Amino acid sequence: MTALDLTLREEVARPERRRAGRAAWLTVPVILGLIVFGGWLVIALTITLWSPYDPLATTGLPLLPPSAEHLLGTDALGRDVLARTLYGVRASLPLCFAVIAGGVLIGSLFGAVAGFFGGWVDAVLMRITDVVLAFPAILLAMVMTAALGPGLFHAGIAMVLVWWPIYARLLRAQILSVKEQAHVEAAVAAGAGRWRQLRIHILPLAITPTLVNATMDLGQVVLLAAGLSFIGLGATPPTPEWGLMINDGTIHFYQWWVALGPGLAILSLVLAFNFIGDGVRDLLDVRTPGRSA
Amino acid sequence: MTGGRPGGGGVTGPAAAGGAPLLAIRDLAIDFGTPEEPQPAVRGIDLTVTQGSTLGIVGESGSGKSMSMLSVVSLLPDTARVSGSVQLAGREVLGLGPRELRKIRGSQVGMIFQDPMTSLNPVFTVGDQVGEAIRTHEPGMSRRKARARAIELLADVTIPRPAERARSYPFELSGGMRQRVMIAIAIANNPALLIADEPTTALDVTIQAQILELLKRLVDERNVGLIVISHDLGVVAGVVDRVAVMYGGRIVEDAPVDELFAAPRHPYTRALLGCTPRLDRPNASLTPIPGTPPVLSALHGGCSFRARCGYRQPRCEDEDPALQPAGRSQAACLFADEIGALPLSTAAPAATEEAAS
Amino acid sequence: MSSPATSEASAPPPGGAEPLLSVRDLVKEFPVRHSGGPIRGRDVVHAVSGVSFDLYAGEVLSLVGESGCGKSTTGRCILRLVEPTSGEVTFRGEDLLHKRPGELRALRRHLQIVFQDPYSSLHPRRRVRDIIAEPMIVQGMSNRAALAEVPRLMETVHLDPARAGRYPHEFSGGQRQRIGIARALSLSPEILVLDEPVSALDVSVQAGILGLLEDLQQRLQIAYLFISHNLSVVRHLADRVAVMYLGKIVEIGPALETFADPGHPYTQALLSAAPIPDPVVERGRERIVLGGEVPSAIEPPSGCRFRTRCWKAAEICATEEPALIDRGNGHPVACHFA
Repeated sequence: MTALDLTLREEVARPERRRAGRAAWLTVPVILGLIVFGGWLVIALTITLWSPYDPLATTGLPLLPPSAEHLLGTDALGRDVLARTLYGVRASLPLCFAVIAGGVLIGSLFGAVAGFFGGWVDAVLMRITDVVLAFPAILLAMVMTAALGPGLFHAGIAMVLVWWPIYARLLRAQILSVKEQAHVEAAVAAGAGRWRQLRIHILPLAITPTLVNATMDLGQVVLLAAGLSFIGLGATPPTPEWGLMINDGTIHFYQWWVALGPGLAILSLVLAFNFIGDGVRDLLDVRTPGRSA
Repeated sequence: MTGGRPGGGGVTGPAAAGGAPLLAIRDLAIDFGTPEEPQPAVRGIDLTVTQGSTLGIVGESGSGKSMSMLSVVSLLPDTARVSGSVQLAGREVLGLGPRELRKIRGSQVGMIFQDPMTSLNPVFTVGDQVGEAIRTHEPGMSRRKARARAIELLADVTIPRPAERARSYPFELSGGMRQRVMIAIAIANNPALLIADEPTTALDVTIQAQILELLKRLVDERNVGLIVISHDLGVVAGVVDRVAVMYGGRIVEDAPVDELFAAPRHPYTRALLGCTPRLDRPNASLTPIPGTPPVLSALHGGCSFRARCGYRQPRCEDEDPALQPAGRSQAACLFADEIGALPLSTAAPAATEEAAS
Repeated sequence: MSSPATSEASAPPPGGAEPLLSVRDLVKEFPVRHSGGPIRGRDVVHAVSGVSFDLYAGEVLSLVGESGCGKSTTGRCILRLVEPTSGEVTFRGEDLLHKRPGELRALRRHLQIVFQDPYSSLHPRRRVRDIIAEPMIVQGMSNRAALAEVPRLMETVHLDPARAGRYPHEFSGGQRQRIGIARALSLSPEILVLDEPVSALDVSVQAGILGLLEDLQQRLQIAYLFISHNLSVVRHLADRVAVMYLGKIVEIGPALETFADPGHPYTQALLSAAPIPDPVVERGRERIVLGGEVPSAIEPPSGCRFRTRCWKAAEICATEEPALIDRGNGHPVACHFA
């Protein structure tokens, strides 16, 4: 028989290529994104304390170009553009998080149930998803506004309704592939019930693309919200909101500073979210060195 | 048919017409890292294959066996840094430009890869793919002629109803059939050398037998040189004249097949034989090799196998043995002669001890 | 129900007269979805087509065959990881196939499985100790009690318990397979289904795992259903062997006897094709090279399914399916000309 008193000493595990250092996902763009996002977050939370001007008040002559008193000039109603730009994040940031949270929750629920149970449940849920996916965001926003009245909040509801199907499909696809893996079979063989299979063995692995997507989509919501406001379906005046401000800016095209503030703000925030999203993807990818799990 | 011939071509065997062996590799080294952080995959090997002879390269994952053969056709990843010499029929291959390499691949060397499912293009028929291989090296040939020739080749590799089959797509064929198509592509331009990288690993055992028989027949009929890379000693035993065992990026033993199996002179070869179950000896005990294959970048000084070697001596710590020749065999062990003299059934004395890691 | 064919399919028991596990006429068919083209009716893949055997306590029964023969599916059907289409699976007299989920869970502790792929069979984001403790927790043990068992289980499979807090990717393939074995053993099962447990490992590592499996089997007296395509490995380990082809058992009997004197042509071909690491032996072998390919499992040949590749095939083989009975070989063989 085989010599079984062979104490198999600790076999040298193949080390993952750890050359890249502990936190390989923390690249320069990611750090930049985090700084920018962090900056906006701080602004959103504290601007009321230190803003030089009231964003709603007329504090100067209309359409003044950038100067020492008004760093980004004033808009058509004499309001300080910089203050309005900075205040604008208070409309956009909570909105994008709320919309994404809502979309992910609803979509993931649909997707998880469809993917896990399969069969006619899957078919029914996915057909509903397909129908909703076919709705253009603008159209739905218009319907919502017509039904419920104008305002950013109602636009937000419309966005959630338009966004969740993407996450439903995403999670469903992931669940379909993860649930075939052997470790899930092992759990079934041990007697794990469906809920446990889903909660411990399937979801943590299936959720990764959802999280990456969600992070990137934060930027997309900002864009969409601004777009809806731009065409009059979102925020209403006099709210300092970037889309509205850009609308003003197009009316006063030669007063380029009116649109500059909100334009740069959107650009910086969306870019920040995109960079952070890349980082999240690298972080969650099991193969990247520097991860412990 | 004749499988391994005891005489064996090889290092001292007959050369091809013209004097030069088909393939002569000298001091080949392949590294994937940077000069500051080297990641060696192959650490200096010498090999020779002559016309009509068959060589088996045996090793486990990470031994460098596939890499070394990919260098013959320069199919290594761009990050690979290669040094040494690889000569095909006397002509240096390393450092050739793309155009020259294209001329060599397929016409002088035919490669058969491991996984027929991913090695064939799924959107073209197999007839088209064999035809493409032909027309790459005979661009003047008409499509129809190439198709006819492709059908001949498919028949040659014993695909039934070849004219019909030529119109099939790879996904319509079974694993064994696909591998035959790969072989047809490899021999399409009558190369002097065939390299088969784990040609049967993905196949069932009865299909494996068919493919190995086919390879042996082709070698006999066309007098080509054949290199078979495998981790399976059984596959190699029935097909080749000569075996090179690779470990840790080096060749640790190189011998005619009969000698290698009857009296291995390197402890790793012995250990491999000792842990391979044999159909004809069901009650033989299997002795596992403790530890795991080495991380090549972590090797420094001394014999690369010493951590897992049951015959380890203090000298092995410091001296990295070169291949010690003895007749037609060579083994990279300081004690090769003594190892070779041991009867196969003796277990290694230090196998139960903790090995230095 | 129990025809002469099936009762003979169970060879004389090595230990005890009553089989631990009884499989009768197991059938599994997978529907085939056709993409595009007209709907051509219900095509099914006949993965398992009436498999019957017994497994006795403490023995190693091996299911041997090439890809597509249904051996893995059979193993999964027994554990109800895949729901059989029809048939009977009885464990200690209890019918496994018709249990409700609650009752089935309690029975699951007696039958466990070790998978082929050491990479996908462990949850990549859980620590090894949680992976090994999982079955016990699922079966109702408290977290603390389950985790307390982990060091002992790791030592049983020769792993260092100090590494219980690590993640699977920090271990080699052979070690991961050991983790899988430890997990399977955590419930002290009486039956272990091993689905190609060493096929994905290097040869030098295989021997270690096989040695471990042998030792465990003898010490703990677990019955193994050892599924493999590697005859050399099977011969080394098995007490009895069942050879499968295209969803059916074509021969079943004691390992030594069946390998030494195979009755079924397919078994003979399998044995003849298996490579032996010895060039002298290889040169001297009379090799049977089967012609043709494995037929489609959607439309298996009528009568004897092996007839399209069999050198003994005659008219009767197409019209009459040979029953799995003893034809003078000492064990059941499904061939008219055994």
